[in-house]
Amino acid sequence: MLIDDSELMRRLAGGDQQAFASLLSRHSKLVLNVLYRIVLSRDDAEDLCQEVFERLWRHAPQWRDEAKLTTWLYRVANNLAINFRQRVQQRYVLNEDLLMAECDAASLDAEVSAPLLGMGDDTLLRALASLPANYRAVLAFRFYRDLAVKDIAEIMGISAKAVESQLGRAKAQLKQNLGGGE
Amino acid sequence: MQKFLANTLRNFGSNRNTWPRWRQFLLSICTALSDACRQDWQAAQSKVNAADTALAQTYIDGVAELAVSSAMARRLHKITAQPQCRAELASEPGVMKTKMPFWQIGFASAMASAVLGVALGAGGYVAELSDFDAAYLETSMTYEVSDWLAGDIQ
Repeated sequence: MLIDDSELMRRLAGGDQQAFASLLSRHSKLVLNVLYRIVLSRDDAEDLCQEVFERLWRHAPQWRDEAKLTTWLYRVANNLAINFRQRVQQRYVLNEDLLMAECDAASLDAEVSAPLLGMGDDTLLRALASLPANYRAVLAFRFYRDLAVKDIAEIMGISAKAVESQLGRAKAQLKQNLGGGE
Repeated sequence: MQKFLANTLRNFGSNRNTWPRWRQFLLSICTALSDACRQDWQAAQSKVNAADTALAQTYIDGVAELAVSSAMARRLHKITAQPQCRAELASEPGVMKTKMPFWQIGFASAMASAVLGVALGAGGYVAELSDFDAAYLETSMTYEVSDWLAGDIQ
Protein backbone atom coordinates (compact mmCIF):
# COMPACT_ATOMS: atom_id res chain seq x y z
CA MET A 1 0.00 0.00 0.00
CA LEU A 2 1.35 3.41 -0.97
CA ILE A 3 1.76 5.70 2.02
CA ASP A 4 1.15 9.35 1.24
CA ASP A 5 3.69 12.10 1.89
CA SER A 6 1.76 13.50 4.87
CA GLU A 7 1.87 10.18 6.70
CA LEU A 8 5.56 9.77 5.86
CA MET A 9 6.23 13.26 7.21
CA ARG A 10 4.43 12.40 10.44
CA ARG A 11 6.65 9.34 10.79
CA LEU A 12 9.72 11.37 9.82
CA ALA A 13 8.92 13.84 12.59
CA GLY A 14 9.42 10.95 14.98
CA GLY A 15 12.82 10.17 13.47
CA ASP A 16 11.66 7.25 11.30
CA GLN A 17 14.58 6.50 8.96
CA GLN A 18 12.48 4.19 6.81
CA ALA A 19 10.06 7.05 6.12
CA PHE A 20 13.02 9.22 5.11
CA ALA A 21 14.25 6.49 2.74
CA SER A 22 10.79 6.33 1.17
CA LEU A 23 10.71 10.10 0.68
CA LEU A 24 14.19 9.99 -0.84
CA SER A 25 13.23 7.32 -3.34
CA ARG A 26 10.09 9.25 -4.22
CA HIS A 27 11.46 12.80 -4.55
CA SER A 28 15.26 12.92 -4.70
CA LYS A 29 15.51 12.41 -8.46
CA LEU A 30 13.00 15.16 -9.23
CA VAL A 31 14.64 17.60 -6.82
CA LEU A 32 18.07 16.78 -8.25
CA ASN A 33 16.88 17.39 -11.80
CA VAL A 34 15.13 20.64 -10.96
CA LEU A 35 18.31 21.85 -9.26
CA TYR A 36 20.42 20.72 -12.20
CA ARG A 37 18.25 22.75 -14.56
CA ILE A 38 18.80 25.85 -12.45
CA VAL A 39 22.48 25.60 -11.52
CA LEU A 40 23.50 23.66 -14.64
CA SER A 41 26.13 21.61 -12.89
CA ARG A 42 25.71 18.05 -11.71
CA ASP A 43 28.11 18.37 -8.78
CA ASP A 44 26.49 21.54 -7.50
CA ALA A 45 23.01 20.11 -8.04
CA GLU A 46 23.97 17.09 -5.95
CA ASP A 47 25.36 19.28 -3.16
CA LEU A 48 22.21 21.40 -3.15
CA CYS A 49 19.99 18.33 -3.30
CA GLN A 50 21.74 16.98 -0.22
CA GLU A 51 21.14 20.31 1.51
CA VAL A 52 17.44 20.21 0.64
CA PHE A 53 17.03 16.77 2.18
CA GLU A 54 19.17 17.69 5.19
CA ARG A 55 16.73 20.51 5.86
CA LEU A 56 13.81 18.15 5.40
CA TRP A 57 15.28 15.71 7.94
CA ARG A 58 16.29 18.37 10.46
CA HIS A 59 13.03 20.30 10.33
CA ALA A 60 10.66 17.34 10.06
CA PRO A 61 9.56 17.66 13.72
CA GLN A 62 8.44 21.21 12.96
CA TRP A 63 6.52 20.16 9.85
CA ARG A 64 3.05 21.63 9.57
CA ASP A 65 0.79 19.85 7.16
CA GLU A 66 -0.33 22.99 5.36
CA ALA A 67 1.39 22.67 1.97
CA LYS A 68 2.24 19.79 -0.30
CA LEU A 69 5.65 18.29 0.41
CA THR A 70 6.70 18.71 -3.23
CA THR A 71 5.90 22.43 -3.01
CA TRP A 72 8.09 22.72 0.10
CA LEU A 73 10.93 20.73 -1.51
CA TYR A 74 10.84 22.77 -4.70
CA ARG A 75 10.66 26.03 -2.72
CA VAL A 76 13.75 25.16 -0.69
CA ALA A 77 15.52 23.88 -3.80
CA ASN A 78 14.66 27.06 -5.69
CA ASN A 79 15.86 29.34 -2.88
CA LEU A 80 19.11 27.43 -2.53
CA ALA A 81 19.72 27.40 -6.26
CA ILE A 82 18.90 31.10 -6.74
CA ASN A 83 21.39 31.97 -3.99
CA PHE A 84 23.90 29.59 -5.49
CA ARG A 85 25.90 32.10 -7.50
CA GLN A 86 26.35 34.29 -4.45
CA ARG A 87 27.53 31.27 -2.47
CA VAL A 88 29.91 30.25 -5.25
CA GLN A 89 31.36 33.74 -5.26
CA GLN A 90 31.85 33.61 -1.48
CA ARG A 91 33.53 30.25 -1.83
CA TYR A 92 35.85 31.68 -4.46
CA VAL A 93 36.75 34.65 -2.27
CA LEU A 94 37.52 32.34 0.65
CA ASN A 95 39.81 30.29 -1.55
CA GLU A 96 42.82 32.55 -2.09
CA ASP A 97 44.15 30.41 -4.91
CA LEU A 98 41.03 31.14 -6.88
CA LEU A 99 40.68 34.77 -5.90
CA MET A 100 41.84 35.95 -9.28
CA ALA A 101 39.30 33.74 -10.98
CA GLU A 102 36.56 35.43 -8.96
CA CYS A 103 37.62 38.77 -10.39
CA ASP A 104 37.03 37.44 -13.87
CA ALA A 105 33.29 37.13 -14.36
CA ALA A 106 33.79 35.29 -17.62
CA SER A 107 35.72 32.53 -15.90
CA LEU A 108 32.88 32.17 -13.38
CA ASP A 109 30.31 31.84 -16.14
CA ALA A 110 32.51 29.25 -17.77
CA GLU A 111 32.78 27.39 -14.46
CA VAL A 112 29.02 27.31 -14.05
CA SER A 113 28.31 26.15 -17.56
CA ALA A 114 31.35 23.97 -18.27
CA PRO A 115 30.20 20.77 -16.57
CA LEU A 116 27.13 20.51 -18.72
CA LEU A 117 28.66 21.19 -22.06
CA GLY A 118 29.53 17.56 -22.53
CA MET A 119 25.92 16.50 -22.05
CA GLY A 120 22.86 16.97 -24.22
CA ASP A 121 22.54 19.80 -26.67
CA ASP A 122 25.40 22.29 -26.28
CA THR A 123 23.47 25.09 -27.97
CA LEU A 124 20.53 24.77 -25.62
CA LEU A 125 22.72 24.48 -22.56
CA ARG A 126 24.75 27.52 -23.55
CA ALA A 127 21.50 29.39 -24.16
CA LEU A 128 20.24 28.36 -20.71
CA ALA A 129 23.54 29.30 -19.06
CA SER A 130 23.18 32.86 -20.33
CA LEU A 131 19.75 33.25 -18.68
CA PRO A 132 19.38 34.61 -15.13
CA ALA A 133 18.91 31.86 -12.52
CA ASN A 134 15.30 32.83 -11.80
CA TYR A 135 14.45 32.45 -15.50
CA ARG A 136 16.05 29.00 -15.52
CA ALA A 137 14.01 28.15 -12.43
CA VAL A 138 10.71 29.22 -13.94
CA LEU A 139 11.50 27.27 -17.13
CA ALA A 140 12.41 24.19 -15.11
CA PHE A 141 9.14 24.27 -13.18
CA ARG A 142 7.06 24.99 -16.29
CA PHE A 143 8.73 22.79 -18.90
CA TYR A 144 10.38 20.04 -16.87
CA ARG A 145 7.82 19.64 -14.06
CA ASP A 146 4.87 20.93 -16.09
CA LEU A 147 3.55 22.89 -13.11
CA ALA A 148 0.71 25.41 -13.32
CA VAL A 149 1.56 29.08 -13.01
CA LYS A 150 -0.13 29.38 -9.61
CA ASP A 151 1.93 26.45 -8.27
CA ILE A 152 5.12 28.03 -9.59
CA ALA A 153 4.08 31.29 -7.94
CA GLU A 154 3.67 29.50 -4.59
CA ILE A 155 7.06 27.83 -4.95
CA MET A 156 8.89 31.00 -5.96
CA GLY A 157 7.05 33.23 -3.51
CA ILE A 158 5.89 35.68 -6.18
CA SER A 159 2.56 36.51 -7.77
CA ALA A 160 1.11 34.50 -10.65
CA LYS A 161 1.35 37.64 -12.75
CA ALA A 162 5.07 37.89 -12.01
CA VAL A 163 5.53 34.24 -12.95
CA GLU A 164 3.77 34.78 -16.27
CA SER A 165 5.92 37.80 -16.90
CA GLN A 166 9.16 35.96 -16.05
CA LEU A 167 8.08 32.97 -18.08
CA GLY A 168 7.34 35.16 -21.09
CA ARG A 169 10.71 36.89 -20.84
CA ALA A 170 12.56 33.63 -20.22
CA LYS A 171 11.01 31.99 -23.26
CA ALA A 172 11.66 35.02 -25.45
CA GLN A 173 15.29 35.23 -24.30
CA LEU A 174 15.80 31.51 -24.71
CA LYS A 175 14.39 31.62 -28.24
CA GLN A 176 16.63 34.55 -29.01
CA ASN A 177 19.67 32.75 -27.58
CA LEU A 178 18.81 29.70 -29.63
CA GLY A 179 18.74 31.88 -32.72
CA GLY A 180 15.00 31.70 -33.22
CA GLY A 181 14.32 35.32 -32.33
CA GLU A 182 10.86 36.47 -31.32
CA MET B 1 -10.03 46.73 -35.44
CA GLN B 2 -8.02 44.13 -37.38
CA LYS B 3 -5.33 46.73 -38.00
CA PHE B 4 -5.22 47.56 -34.27
CA LEU B 5 -4.87 43.87 -33.42
CA ALA B 6 -2.16 43.31 -36.03
CA ASN B 7 -0.21 46.33 -34.78
CA THR B 8 -0.52 45.21 -31.17
CA LEU B 9 0.60 41.67 -31.97
CA ARG B 10 3.57 43.02 -33.89
CA ASN B 11 4.62 45.54 -31.23
CA PHE B 12 3.77 43.72 -27.98
CA GLY B 13 3.80 40.03 -28.91
CA SER B 14 1.11 37.40 -28.43
CA ASN B 15 1.04 37.33 -24.63
CA ARG B 16 -1.81 39.67 -23.70
CA ASN B 17 -0.58 39.83 -20.10
CA THR B 18 2.37 41.90 -21.24
CA TRP B 19 0.18 44.39 -23.12
CA PRO B 20 -0.84 47.77 -21.70
CA ARG B 21 -4.17 47.50 -19.91
CA TRP B 22 -6.10 49.61 -22.38
CA ARG B 23 -4.94 47.34 -25.23
CA GLN B 24 -6.03 44.27 -23.24
CA PHE B 25 -9.42 45.91 -22.78
CA LEU B 26 -9.70 46.76 -26.49
CA LEU B 27 -8.71 43.19 -27.40
CA SER B 28 -11.70 41.80 -25.51
CA ILE B 29 -13.97 44.29 -27.32
CA CYS B 30 -12.45 43.51 -30.71
CA THR B 31 -12.73 39.75 -30.32
CA ALA B 32 -16.29 40.11 -29.05
CA LEU B 33 -17.42 42.30 -31.91
CA SER B 34 -15.43 41.09 -34.90
CA ASP B 35 -15.17 37.51 -36.17
CA ALA B 36 -12.09 38.42 -38.20
CA CYS B 37 -10.36 39.74 -35.07
CA ARG B 38 -11.31 36.63 -33.13
CA GLN B 39 -9.85 34.40 -35.87
CA ASP B 40 -6.65 36.48 -36.02
CA TRP B 41 -6.30 36.29 -32.25
CA GLN B 42 -6.88 32.52 -32.21
CA ALA B 43 -4.37 32.07 -35.02
CA ALA B 44 -1.80 34.09 -33.09
CA GLN B 45 -2.43 32.02 -29.96
CA SER B 46 -2.13 28.75 -31.90
CA LYS B 47 1.16 29.96 -33.32
CA VAL B 48 2.40 30.85 -29.85
CA ASN B 49 1.23 27.54 -28.41
CA ALA B 50 2.98 25.66 -31.21
CA ALA B 51 6.17 27.67 -30.62
CA ASP B 52 5.93 27.09 -26.86
CA THR B 53 5.36 23.39 -27.37
CA ALA B 54 8.38 23.23 -29.65
CA LEU B 55 10.48 25.17 -27.15
CA ALA B 56 9.33 22.94 -24.30
CA GLN B 57 10.20 19.86 -26.33
CA THR B 58 13.62 21.31 -27.18
CA TYR B 59 14.13 21.99 -23.48
CA ILE B 60 13.04 18.50 -22.43
CA ASP B 61 15.15 16.81 -25.09
CA GLY B 62 18.14 19.10 -24.66
CA VAL B 63 18.78 18.81 -20.95
CA ALA B 64 19.83 15.39 -19.76
CA GLU B 65 17.68 13.65 -17.14
CA LEU B 66 20.00 12.84 -14.23
CA ALA B 67 19.71 9.69 -12.19
CA VAL B 68 20.66 9.61 -8.52
CA SER B 69 24.04 7.92 -8.49
CA SER B 70 24.86 5.29 -5.87
CA ALA B 71 27.38 7.69 -4.28
CA MET B 72 24.71 10.37 -4.11
CA ALA B 73 22.21 7.89 -2.65
CA ARG B 74 24.73 6.98 0.06
CA ARG B 75 25.23 10.67 0.88
CA LEU B 76 21.49 11.17 1.14
CA HIS B 77 20.97 8.16 3.38
CA LYS B 78 23.72 9.36 5.72
CA ILE B 79 21.63 12.45 6.49
CA THR B 80 19.71 10.52 9.13
CA ALA B 81 22.88 10.40 11.25
CA GLN B 82 22.35 14.10 11.92
CA PRO B 83 20.19 15.25 14.85
CA GLN B 84 16.72 16.58 14.17
CA CYS B 85 15.51 19.97 15.37
CA ARG B 86 13.18 19.96 18.34
CA ALA B 87 9.57 20.67 17.54
CA GLU B 88 8.45 24.26 18.02
CA LEU B 89 5.86 23.49 20.65
CA ALA B 90 4.29 26.93 20.55
CA SER B 91 3.52 26.60 16.85
CA GLU B 92 1.78 23.27 17.15
CA PRO B 93 -1.98 23.50 16.94
CA GLY B 94 -2.50 21.10 19.87
CA VAL B 95 -0.37 23.21 22.14
CA MET B 96 -1.92 26.43 20.94
CA LYS B 97 -5.28 25.18 22.23
CA THR B 98 -3.93 24.85 25.76
CA LYS B 99 -2.84 28.47 25.79
CA MET B 100 -5.03 30.67 27.98
CA PRO B 101 -6.97 33.45 26.26
CA PHE B 102 -6.31 36.96 27.56
CA TRP B 103 -9.66 37.30 29.36
CA GLN B 104 -9.01 34.07 31.23
CA ILE B 105 -5.59 35.38 32.19
CA GLY B 106 -7.28 38.54 33.58
CA PHE B 107 -9.78 36.50 35.56
CA ALA B 108 -7.09 34.20 36.89
CA SER B 109 -5.01 37.21 37.95
CA ALA B 110 -7.98 38.73 39.80
CA MET B 111 -8.69 35.47 41.60
CA ALA B 112 -5.04 35.03 42.50
CA SER B 113 -4.94 38.57 43.91
CA ALA B 114 -8.03 37.90 46.02
CA VAL B 115 -6.63 34.65 47.38
CA LEU B 116 -3.32 36.34 48.17
CA GLY B 117 -5.15 39.16 49.97
CA VAL B 118 -7.15 36.73 52.09
CA ALA B 119 -4.05 34.69 52.86
CA LEU B 120 -2.06 37.72 53.93
CA GLY B 121 -4.93 39.14 55.96
CA ALA B 122 -5.68 35.84 57.70
CA GLY B 123 -2.02 35.27 58.38
CA GLY B 124 -1.69 38.66 59.99
CA TYR B 125 1.39 39.53 57.96
CA VAL B 126 0.27 43.01 57.09
CA ALA B 127 -1.26 44.46 60.30
CA GLU B 128 0.28 42.64 63.21
CA LEU B 129 -0.30 44.39 66.52
CA SER B 130 2.85 43.74 68.47
CA ASP B 131 1.85 46.17 71.30
CA PHE B 132 -1.75 45.09 71.65
CA ASP B 133 -2.02 46.11 75.31
CA ALA B 134 -1.34 49.72 74.45
CA ALA B 135 -4.20 49.84 72.07
CA TYR B 136 -7.33 50.79 73.91
CA LEU B 137 -10.36 52.89 73.39
CA GLU B 138 -10.66 55.92 75.61
CA THR B 139 -14.40 55.94 76.30
CA SER B 140 -14.29 58.98 78.55
CA MET B 141 -12.79 61.06 75.80
CA THR B 142 -14.92 63.73 74.28
CA TYR B 143 -14.53 64.94 70.77
CA GLU B 144 -16.50 68.12 71.38
CA VAL B 145 -14.25 70.94 70.24
CA SER B 146 -16.08 73.58 72.21
CA ASP B 147 -15.22 71.73 75.43
CA TRP B 148 -11.56 71.85 74.55
CA LEU B 149 -11.76 75.52 73.81
CA ALA B 150 -13.59 76.17 77.06
CA GLY B 151 -10.97 74.20 78.97
CA ASP B 152 -8.17 76.23 77.31
CA ILE B 153 -9.80 79.50 78.22
CA GLN B 154 -10.29 78.36 81.75
